[in-house]
Order: sequence, then structure tokens, then C-alpha cells
Amino acid sequence: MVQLKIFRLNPEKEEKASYTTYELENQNSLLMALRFVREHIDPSLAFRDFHCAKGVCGSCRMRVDGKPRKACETMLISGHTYLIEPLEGKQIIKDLVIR
Amino acid sequence: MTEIIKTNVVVIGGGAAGLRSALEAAAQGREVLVLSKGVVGKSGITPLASFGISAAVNNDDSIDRHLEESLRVAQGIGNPKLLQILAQESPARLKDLVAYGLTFKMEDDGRFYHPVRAGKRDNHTCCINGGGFSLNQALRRAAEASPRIRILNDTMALKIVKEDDQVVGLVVLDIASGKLAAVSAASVILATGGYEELWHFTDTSTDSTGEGICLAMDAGADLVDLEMVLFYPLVMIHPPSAIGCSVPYDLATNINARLLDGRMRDLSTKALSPFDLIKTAYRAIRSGSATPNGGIYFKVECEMPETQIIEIIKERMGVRFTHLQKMGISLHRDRIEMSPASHYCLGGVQIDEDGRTNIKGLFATGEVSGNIHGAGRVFSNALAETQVFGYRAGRAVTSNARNGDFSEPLAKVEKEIQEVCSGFKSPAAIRSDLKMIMWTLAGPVRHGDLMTEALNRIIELSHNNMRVKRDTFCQQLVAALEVKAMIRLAEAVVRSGLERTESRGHHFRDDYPQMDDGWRAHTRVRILKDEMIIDKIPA
Repeated sequence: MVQLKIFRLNPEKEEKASYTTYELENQNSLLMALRFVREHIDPSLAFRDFHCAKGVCGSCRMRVDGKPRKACETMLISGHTYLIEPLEGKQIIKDLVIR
Repeated sequence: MTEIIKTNVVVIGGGAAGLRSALEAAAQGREVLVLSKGVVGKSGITPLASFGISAAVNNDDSIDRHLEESLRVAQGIGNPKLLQILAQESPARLKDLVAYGLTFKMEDDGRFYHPVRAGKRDNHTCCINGGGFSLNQALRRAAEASPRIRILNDTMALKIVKEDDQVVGLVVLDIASGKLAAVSAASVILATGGYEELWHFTDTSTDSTGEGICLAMDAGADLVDLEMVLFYPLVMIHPPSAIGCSVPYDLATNINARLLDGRMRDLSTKALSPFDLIKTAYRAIRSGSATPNGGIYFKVECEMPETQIIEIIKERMGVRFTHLQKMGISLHRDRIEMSPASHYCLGGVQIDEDGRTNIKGLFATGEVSGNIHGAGRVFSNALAETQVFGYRAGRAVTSNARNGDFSEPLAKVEKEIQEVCSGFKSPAAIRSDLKMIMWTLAGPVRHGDLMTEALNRIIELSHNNMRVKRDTFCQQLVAALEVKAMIRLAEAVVRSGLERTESRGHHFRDDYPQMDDGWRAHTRVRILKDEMIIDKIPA
């Protein structure tokens, strides 16, 4: 199992961000884990999930434990908790999606 | 009050074909709006394309040979006129790309480098440094630099609006706000790519859902040869971090890889053509001896020194090698699950030499168009097609916009959205069911009985509406609308497949294994009086 503590913000409705923690089976990469969350736990979670399978496009870049990473190239280790936030310095559309 | 955006030309799709058409339309003095479902350059199919773009550009290259090769692979139903234009004009379009700042692999003497494929020196494939991703970025930069082009990311086209049989614009969804808007334009250029996502295994992106083709179909456009889908022989299907990563099929021969079924039986694929390899692998998967994730195994058993094997893999896999390395996956050590996967849609919207469809004001270019390559496509003709026919569509558009009335189409789309969102199932669950139906019953090897079963199950699925909360950055709504379109398109694809009672190129039927001269023709799909009609028209 892994735990993802994910930044949540809908700027249309909320002024302050909150964090939701999800616990799930390890899905290998962070991108696949986020997809699992959206498909099976919380369909309201927003992130860019265009999947190039090459680590090239960079559309899934986000901060993992404070560092900018590509979700598709971030391998998760079972038993760990990860802090997942959007990249800094950009306008947030929703949750992990930036303009 | 719903926003109405006014422009001369609206391009749907921010890939190589869409941006090239936008650049040419702008060069002709038009105001152009480019809509992209995701972020331009970081979504769609172009960024995933390989390096190859065909153009007989060197002095000793032959345009005739390029054409001959394209016609041969098209198996009798390619369009000779369009393929000739492709061969003739691709060198000039390649030079345009150089002007946009794209670089290519070059010989020391300044000629464009052509790779050696299957032991033969290719005479028309040029190699883009950085592949499709770099191509898309170069075109994006050029488009952003044009004062006449405006790009709208996160915008999904939902309906083509016509008045008196002439296109007047679009109804679109602004994904960020979740609100509808209208676009008033004299010409619509459809450049939305293919529908590879209809199948369980694909090596393209998750947004290649094909709703652009449904837009054209609903506007009255003729669609041809939708059953013609190019499957790629070897694509990784496990682990999850490598899903969709394709492996050049001749690499297996180069490094002496064995292909095994789930019971470790050798599939003896050494001397097989790529197409026979697809059939052999698919049959093994479907006969109940698949690997745990539904594929076959790829296992290297080579006597070459490890460093040499890695060098070969690295050269052939390019950026994908680096990705796999970061993921801790080793092609030469691990036993890897692979499968054939949908790779390119040969069929689509019927066009003339300037991308015109049968609907006044509606153009189509790139993979979404359907009558260029016939039953098979030459490697690297796909990217050349985006540039040659993108340019031509951009040059041919007109800009005499009339002020359409969008109130009724907007209300209609709003009603459709409410209906789609009135159900109980999740879009992801229906999508996954549909993809499995298409893969198991209408995949690379087909049979009339199985396709009939597929059709029945697709029609059952079509009765489902979905449970969707409409929200800011409404990915759920996008997913639901995609699924709705995918179900309709799947019906059209399967019915086209049933109509074509022969085997030709990438349409292979176990119940009709031979090519039939009577089928040197296109299947055609169109909507007449709200009903989907399939027939046969001359190629």
C-alpha cells in the first residue's frame, strides 16, 4: 500500500487549499496511482494525465515531497506516504492542474 | 449570456496537421483560432510520433519511388491523386519545417540522412531530431509567434453548427470553467487525429478518442474505411509505468528476442512479416494462452555481449530507452509482457486534394482524414501527410463568415450534456468495457460472428448514461462526452468491418481470408435522416 497526501483546491469555490490523503495499492508509478484514485476512489481529483509513455511531454509534472517531478517517472515505494502538490508559481485551475 | 468568439477560421486540434493548417491560413491573411482538448504540444498524438517523416528531398531521392511504395502498401484502395501530392509536395513542406526551426539528422555532405530499415536503405524517410514532440513544439512556437493565430487550450469542440448547408461555427466546452461557448467562423478545419483509444491496447495517447470524427459524421460528412486500423506488433503492456511503449518489431530479430505465449511456448516468429507477427501474437492471446496481463512475452536470449545488446536497444528505442531505464525496466534482462496495439487509423473523413469534405466550409486534415493511405500506410507517411495536407487545407479555406444564430445549437448541446450526465455508471467503467469489447471482438484478426456480437454489446452500452458532477476543470464531463462519442464511433467501425467481406491490408477476417477484387472500394458511413447508413463506394 502507499499513501498519497494530495493538494486540493477549486479556486472558483474555495479560498484556501486543503489536503486529502488516499490509501491504495501500489500502482507502480505515481501517474498510474493518480489515475487509480480518480477512477476508483475520488472522481473529482483533477490532474493532467495525458500519457506519453516516454517521459517526454512533461504534462504530468508536479511537486512530489516538494520537488518538481514527472508523475509518470516517479516510482512509488510501498509503505511510503507522498506529498503531492502542483508546480509552484503558476495559476492553479484546479487541484494539480495549472495553466 | 454565452460567449460568442468570432474568427475567420477555426482549427480543431493542436497537433502537427492542425498547427500547419493554422499557419498557412494565417499566411493567407485569415484570423485563426486553434482549439485543443489539452495543452498544445503536450497532448494529442503528434508528441508520441516517432522520428520519421517521408520526403524524397535529396537530389538522388526519387519522388516516383516514394509514390510507388505508397501505392503498393495501400493495397489497391489508396488514393493515387492524394498519394502523388504527398510524394511531390513533402520535400517543400520539409523545408518549411527547417524554416520553423526544426532540425533533422543530416549526412556529413549536407544531405538528409535516411535510415536503414530491414536491411535496406530507405529512400524517403527523413529523421526529425526529437521526433514528433519536437515537431509539435516547433509548430507551436511558430503559431504562437503569428499575430493572426490564437490558441485556446483545454477546449473541446462539441458540435459543428450549419445554416443552409454551410458551416457557420462550433459549440465548444471550456474545460477550465465547465461552461459552453460558441465560435463563429466561415471555415472549420478538423484535425483531431485518430480513434486508437477504442481498443484495450494502444501505443497512442489516452485522448485519441475520435470524437472529432463523430462531429463530422453528425454534420453530414462522409466517412470512409473506418475498419482500416493499423496495429503495431510489439507494444509493452506491463508494468503500468511502461504501458504503451512500442518496441520496433525488427529489434526482436536484431537482438535475438524470443516471443513466447503465457505457457512459455515459442511462437516461432523469426521469419514473419510484421503483419503475420500481429496475427500470430493476437491468436495466441485470444486462444487462452495469454500472459497474466493479456499479452505475450518478449525475452532476449542473445549470445552477444551485454554492452552491445544495450547499445542496439538504445539506438533503436531512443527516448523510450531512457524512460525504461529510469523505471528500472530492462528490455534485455527482463521477461516483458507485450501485445499488438492500435497505432494509426487509416480510415476517417473523406477529403479532396485540399482537405475539403462534402460539407461546405468543413475541412479535414491529418489522421482524421480517411481516403489517402487505403489499406496500409508507409512508415513516416503519417507526419508527411500532416504537413502536406495541413498546408493545403489552410490555403483553401475561405473567410466570408456569416453571423450564425447559436442559441438553438447551444440549447441542444446543453440538453445532450444533461442527458449524458443523468445516469449511474462511471465513464471510466464504460470506457474500459468498450475497449475490451473492441479488442477481443474487433481487434487485429476479425470474424463476422464476433463482430456481430461486438455490435450487440456496443448497442447495449450505448443505453448507459453516466454519473458525472459538472465542476471546474470538468475532466469527468470530458470523459463522459468522450465515451459517448467512442460508443457511436465503435458502432460505425464494427459495421464497416462487417460490410467489408474480404481481407485487405489491415482489415483481416478469418471468415473471408482472401482479398476480393470486388472490394477494391471504400466502405462509407454517413448519417441520413438520423440513421447511420453503411455502403460501398468506388475507391
